[in-house]
Amino acid sequence: MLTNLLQGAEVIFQPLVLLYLLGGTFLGLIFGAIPGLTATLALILLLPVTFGMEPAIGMAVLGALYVGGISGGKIPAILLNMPGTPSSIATTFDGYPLAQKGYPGRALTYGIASSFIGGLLGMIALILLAPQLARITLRFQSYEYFILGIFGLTVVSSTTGRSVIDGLVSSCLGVLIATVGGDPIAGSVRFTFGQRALEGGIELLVAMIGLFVITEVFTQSADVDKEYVFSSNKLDSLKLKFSVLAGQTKNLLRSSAIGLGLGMLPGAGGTIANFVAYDQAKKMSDKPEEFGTGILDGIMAAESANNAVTGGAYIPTITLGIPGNTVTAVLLAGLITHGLTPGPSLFINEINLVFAMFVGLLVANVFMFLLQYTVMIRFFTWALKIPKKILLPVIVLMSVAGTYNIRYSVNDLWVLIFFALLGYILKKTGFPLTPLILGLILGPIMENNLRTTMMATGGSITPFFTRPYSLALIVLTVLSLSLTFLIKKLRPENVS
Amino acid sequence: MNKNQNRPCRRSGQGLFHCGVKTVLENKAYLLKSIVNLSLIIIGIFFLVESYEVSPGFQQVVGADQYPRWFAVILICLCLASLLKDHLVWRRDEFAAEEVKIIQEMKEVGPRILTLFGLLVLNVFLIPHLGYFESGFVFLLLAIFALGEKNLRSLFISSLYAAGITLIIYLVFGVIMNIYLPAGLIF
Repeated sequence: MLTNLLQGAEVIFQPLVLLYLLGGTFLGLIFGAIPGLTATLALILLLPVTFGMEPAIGMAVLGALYVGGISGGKIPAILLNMPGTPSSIATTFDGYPLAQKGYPGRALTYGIASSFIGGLLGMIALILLAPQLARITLRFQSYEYFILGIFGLTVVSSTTGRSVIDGLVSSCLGVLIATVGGDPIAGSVRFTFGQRALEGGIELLVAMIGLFVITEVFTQSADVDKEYVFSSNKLDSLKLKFSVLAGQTKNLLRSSAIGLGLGMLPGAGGTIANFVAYDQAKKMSDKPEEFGTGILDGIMAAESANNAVTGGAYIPTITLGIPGNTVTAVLLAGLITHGLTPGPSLFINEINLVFAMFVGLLVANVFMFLLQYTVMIRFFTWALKIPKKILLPVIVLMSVAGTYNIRYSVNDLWVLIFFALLGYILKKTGFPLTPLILGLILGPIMENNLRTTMMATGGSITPFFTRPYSLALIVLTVLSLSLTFLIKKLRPENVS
Repeated sequence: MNKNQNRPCRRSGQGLFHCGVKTVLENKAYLLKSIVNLSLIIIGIFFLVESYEVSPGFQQVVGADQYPRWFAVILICLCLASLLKDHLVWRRDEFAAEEVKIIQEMKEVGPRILTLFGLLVLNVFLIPHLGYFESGFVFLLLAIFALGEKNLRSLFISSLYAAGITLIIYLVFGVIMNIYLPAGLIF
């Protein structure tokens, strides 16, 4: 492993690559810091920019955007009581009261340090756990990959929406849309309406830009007139005391473990981790009544947890090919766009790339700490002064450039408009969009594996139930679906 | 919120059919969700019917036609289940409590969103004729103006912003990153 890490470091520790990572982290922080803009948006918008880079470098830059995007949300959460991303909601509970008491600098400093520690612990766990898990998943064959796809779709469908059925509808629609164009095995052309432009299929990134970026621009245009009210308190001391950090060791370890664990679960992610860690810190504390009044314990629990999610969410993404959340779904799309096959085969065919990604994440975590601690605290107020009436049209224009740059096709721009409209309608009527994207990603992989399996077995489905891993995955799928239904039935509002 | 607010037949004692139709139409959230579900069923039926036109491929156990067909059937079944679930929720008078995001948003900022959408369509239409940067300038000018105040001064400021941003985008995409974008009249 050490040799692999050193080889990964060789790729990353080049002046230009470090500059890319610094730029990626900085852009991620800006996207995270501006309420309404998210890490997902940053990744989708800048994915086309990484096309010209080597896959390992491109993926490391995307990782840097992710690290920055998740971490930047704390700044407006503390200073404006307005989380920049959903993963920083619980940060507002104590961050804003502490800033209001006249200690915004203290809140930010320890928030940044907690993000760094949480991120670091998550990434160490990723480096240690991912290769071990990959050893198991390397035994998977097409039988398991097909069931794994079904498992991923059902888990994400049941955790991302208000209703399991609506999530499943979204994922099914994604799988169907993915069948448009040439069939991956026999080459038959499907559902093209006679349009030659559709024969190459729907480009994943075009669908993502339409569904997430343009849809978000439409949604954000609703509050384009919103002005941010800054606290009149000037920044107090930004001094970081080791004794304070040492006093929070248990809190930081517990919260990071929660973030890591929840990050590994497909569909859970930073928002839930943020709340659970805050809640646990409160329950375990000697002074629970002080939570919500502006104490460091709450800020540090919330921030270490949401940054530990980053490392956790990478684990299922690269070892199984199942994303932990929407951002890692984009990372998965990034791998595919760079011509790589996500999943355990990465650990055989692209081991250098995997470890370069890991080292890139560690470096981005350090950049995140340095940038926030030095530049971003002051730069943030400037970033928030960019009016949304200018920012949103610029994002649309960048999306159009990104879409065109994928295949140099104007037809893809019309596909973009179709997905923007579809995304807006589905989002506003309660259908989650993440399962749709996952359907688009996993659909072709599932089809390939199902058809390969059926060729091998002559049409028999018995091996799905006789192979231990396949059977275990089927049981897991059924269990997770049943549990979701059961939990929804047992919720207090349903009981009453 | 009074749960019976959207169920006038409970209050007025009107005929069941008349009241049923009326309350369905009054509960816009339920109506809209049902329309989306029905549209998805139509999409599912389209994929199902079209799958019979697809060649299965040579010596395939599961052909290129079967995989989408199965998922089309699953989509139709799930949409029917969603319709049924929504109907049951509506019957229990719980649907009114859910957010009617799209309708609220359309009432408040509908023209703004529709304008932005229209400008995006216009931009895509103009790109092959004018080029990316030129059509981008037109889009930025109109979009910044549409999202801001509507007066002559604002139009002038919007044009300055649009020109400046277009130039920056040209420098970043066209010169520094050397990304190929549709060429036009000027750039």
